[in-house]
Amino acid sequence: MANFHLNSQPYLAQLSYNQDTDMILEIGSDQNEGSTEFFNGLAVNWEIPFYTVDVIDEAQHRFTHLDHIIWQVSEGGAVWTKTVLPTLSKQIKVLYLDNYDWSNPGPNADAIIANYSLRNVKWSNLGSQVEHLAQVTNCMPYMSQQSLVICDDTPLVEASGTYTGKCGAVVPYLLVNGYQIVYTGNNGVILQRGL
Amino acid sequence: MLCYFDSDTEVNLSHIADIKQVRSVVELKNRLSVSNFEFAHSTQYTHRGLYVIEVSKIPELWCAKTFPKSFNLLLNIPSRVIKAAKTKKIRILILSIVEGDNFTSDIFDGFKHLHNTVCLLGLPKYSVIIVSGNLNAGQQYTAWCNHYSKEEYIEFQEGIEWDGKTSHPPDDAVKIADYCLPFNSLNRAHRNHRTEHLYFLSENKLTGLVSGGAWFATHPIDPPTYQTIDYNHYKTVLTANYPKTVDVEDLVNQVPNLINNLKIYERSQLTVVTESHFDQTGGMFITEKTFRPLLLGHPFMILGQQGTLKKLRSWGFQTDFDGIDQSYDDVTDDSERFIQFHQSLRTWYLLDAEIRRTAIYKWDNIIQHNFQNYKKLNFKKTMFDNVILSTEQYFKKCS
Repeated sequence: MANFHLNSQPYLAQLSYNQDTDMILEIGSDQNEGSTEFFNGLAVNWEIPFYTVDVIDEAQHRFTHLDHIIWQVSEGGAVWTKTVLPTLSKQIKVLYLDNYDWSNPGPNADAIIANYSLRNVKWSNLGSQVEHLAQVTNCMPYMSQQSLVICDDTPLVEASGTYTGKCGAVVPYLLVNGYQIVYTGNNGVILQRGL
Repeated sequence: MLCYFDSDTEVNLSHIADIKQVRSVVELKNRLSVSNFEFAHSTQYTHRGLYVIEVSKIPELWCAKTFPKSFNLLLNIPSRVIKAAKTKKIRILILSIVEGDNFTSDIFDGFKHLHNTVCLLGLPKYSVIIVSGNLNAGQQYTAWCNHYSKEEYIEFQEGIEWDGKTSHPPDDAVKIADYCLPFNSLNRAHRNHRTEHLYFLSENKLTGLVSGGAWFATHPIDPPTYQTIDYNHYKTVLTANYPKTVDVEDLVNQVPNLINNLKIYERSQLTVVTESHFDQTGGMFITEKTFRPLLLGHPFMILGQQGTLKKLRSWGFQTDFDGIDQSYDDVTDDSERFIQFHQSLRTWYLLDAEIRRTAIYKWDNIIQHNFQNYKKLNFKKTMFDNVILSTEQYFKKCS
């Protein structure tokens, strides 16, 4: 079970935050790996809003006791970041990306294809990268100058020195926007700027 | 000391099935009532007090969300409680005494998860107190913090769940019959060190009142860890001699930990306790298995974690029975301790029957002392009194 988000804690501890303007955003709510309760805990501590966006409301029903979370069910993360995010007047201090699935061919991919087709979505790995890139380009105007982006399911391809997986396209985009890679490993990558 | 509950019908965090099923809120309050606790059903924390959560699982299952059945207890606490703890209006009490496993292993670091979660939530130092069935958890956490150069954020206290008090201890110590069997060893549930112990008894032809091996029907016989033996021979000896039962016949419908079969103790000269934990290095989990010879008035040896006898002495019990070498208790290495324990048992067994008979008489003062000392001790009250004392000091420092 992946719990890549736990690797972000040392970098989260370095951030300063503004309770009036900042927010935490998770795109892709918890699927039993503990990310939503983790970022909720941070948001409770900082006393800033925590939005978690997903295409389904399954996690919302499991975490009814966590009353600080602002649940958002949307057609997709890219749609939400384009339509809802601009209305919030908030700066994203922490962005956690783990939504549209990525998979090698095989039974897992077949299951994902079947699952996505229920929502009339034609799933592909390239589609995952497009979706994540669209989310981050939509978020960029609202990213705090000092902020952290946590990309799960984004492994480094050591032979080529590039990243693949969900945020394979997001990583270079973040780099040209002033972010630096601070952590690579455990199938993910963490970037920060302003520190 | 005020204890806050979210409602008068459910325990706190009852949305987590593993917490809800530990015991009802009524039962929990009854337990707490042995000490000076008062109860409030409120989500407004107007007075200082404790927010009590009880968990019955091993640390790996509640310190972090690392696999589907596990959960991070602290991250499931309502935000209003976290806010009140941050402002030092309340303190979070986690009772975790049903199990007594180590918080760390080769594959899991519960201290790291707990410590990081307390920091993630921004909780003040010592705003979380954990009463652990692992009696060494506090010193293990201190060592962990020193090793990783971390400040201590969590207070640990020791707690005993399985103290044997509900087994209806007799009014008088048992009378050990002359020339009875040299020992009893009652092994009711599967543990690998018990299987190895049973092998040693059979291989060395040590005859006593012995139960064990009922678990062979449901658990494979693992290769031995503490003795160097050919596995096939090991298995052959075990399956040829066990299962064997001298006490509880029906392990499904009877509750073995509540049963004191006095006849067994009257007909044996020494109790061989095979504790639940043997190899969780550095930890200390003491159960009713250890308390049984104390509450019945019987001499004992304990095949348990290093320092178990030392811990009993810290509670006022006497553990030195002339003629029995109890120095195995000091041995850190599990294999060496296992071997030394069994050498000591064998030495006792091979003593002349008359010497063994007279030893029992010589030990009578110790047995009677332990019997009376057990009656005086109230582990649950001590545990909760310590929580109250510590929490009063915590709030005093906050003032």
